[in-house]
Amino acid sequence: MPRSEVCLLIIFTADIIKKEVISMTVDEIKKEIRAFLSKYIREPNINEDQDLFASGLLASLFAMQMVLFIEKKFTIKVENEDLDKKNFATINALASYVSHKTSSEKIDR
Amino acid sequence: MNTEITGTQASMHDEFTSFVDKEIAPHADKWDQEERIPAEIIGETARRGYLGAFLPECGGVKMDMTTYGLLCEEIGRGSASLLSLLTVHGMVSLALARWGSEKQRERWLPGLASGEIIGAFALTEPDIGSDARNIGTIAEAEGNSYMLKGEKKWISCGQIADLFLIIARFDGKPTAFLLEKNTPHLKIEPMKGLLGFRSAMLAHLSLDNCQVPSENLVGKAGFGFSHVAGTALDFGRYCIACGSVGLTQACVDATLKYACERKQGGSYLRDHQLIQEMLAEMIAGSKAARLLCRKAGSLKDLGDPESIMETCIAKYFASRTSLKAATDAVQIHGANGCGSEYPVQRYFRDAKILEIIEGSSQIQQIMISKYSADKERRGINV
Repeated sequence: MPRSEVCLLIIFTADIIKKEVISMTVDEIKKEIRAFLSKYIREPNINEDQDLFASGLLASLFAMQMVLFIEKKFTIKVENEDLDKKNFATINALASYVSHKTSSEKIDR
Repeated sequence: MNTEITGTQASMHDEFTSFVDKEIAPHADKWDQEERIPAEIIGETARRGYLGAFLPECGGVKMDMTTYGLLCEEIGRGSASLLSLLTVHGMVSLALARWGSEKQRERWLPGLASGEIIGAFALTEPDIGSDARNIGTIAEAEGNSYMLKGEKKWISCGQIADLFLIIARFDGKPTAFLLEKNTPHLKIEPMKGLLGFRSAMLAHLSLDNCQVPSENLVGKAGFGFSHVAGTALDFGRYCIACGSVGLTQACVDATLKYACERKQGGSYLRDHQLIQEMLAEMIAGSKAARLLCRKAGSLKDLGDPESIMETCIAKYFASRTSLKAATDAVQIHGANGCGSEYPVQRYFRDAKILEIIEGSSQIQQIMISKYSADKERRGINV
């Protein structure tokens, strides 16, 4: 396949993923977050308001792993102004942050 | 995992190899003895776009991480000290590109990308190495500025840096600040006579109430270690891992040549079985380490969260492999390996540093084993 067609295919695929993310409900976002956390967290039945960082459940590398997960899974960019514990501390906070970011992008579009 | 590189990456790799063969490797021993890398070489490295290779928005070459790994491997093959420039300069650039404000990015990234501004990463202190969360450097707010007070030690390229990324404690929380070299009350002292990385121009920084404007805070207070330094250190580990592969390759090249030229007991060293054992270990180690680096680079290019742990594993294995290879390279060279006539003594000294910087082997072991044990407890295959 010619390179230009590959590029178009990548852009097209990314656009489809982005549309899927934008149409996600908060519960669907939480489900994705839980699936991600299950790979890293030491406790399977964590409360949605439990502080992920304060509870010592996570390894020190987790902060950046979470950023990469959010950006890849929800195709959003975590900006420096988003660096606020209230955005990342709990499952509820994360879901709310992602939902807010994706709906902002929807408005931008 | 696809371990093959693309045609474009192979072509870039050829360019890096040629640069190192012509401009770096033949002179690295001299630089090591003089404890400095000539400004012209740093200028040439910058002119080729290697210092800001992953900063596309600022005129950089926009190199993917796999290709950047190839660059680090080749530079590491030629000079571990020059590798340390790419590492720390890249750490500052990437942390700023990732977490800097728009104003900070506009102000600093073009210069960092072109190499007109050299960056250095300042986390380590006289009393704080691996225990980086408990840094002693303090930042205090004063009007529209911060006052930084403390000591930073073992700062690679600190002698030539224009801009330091300082990790300090503000209001008890780890926070990152940009500090320009000409800031009053900043004292920069060269560190000489080190075991390795001798031409990396390390410095000891003394910050005696250095005033920085409030807009020099990078990211947010409290995120200086987890996110700003976290981004920088992950990148730094990747550079060191790839550079370690290069140093191991240099050991292989030098030792194979020597073993094919040197005779003992009437036969070439290459024909002695005990020498063959060391050569085989060295060669197999270099190939295994290279694959780990490729995997880490490939995951980085995908933005995969697993890239962080895979980078730790690559750094751990590659740096240890380089030290083992360098130790055996000196052993095979015998007395010749201890003199300045052959480069293996420099490889040996530099390899020891590779095992210490950007997280010692012991810190990597703790991270890797804890991470893996946690996964095991959750029933996830490691």
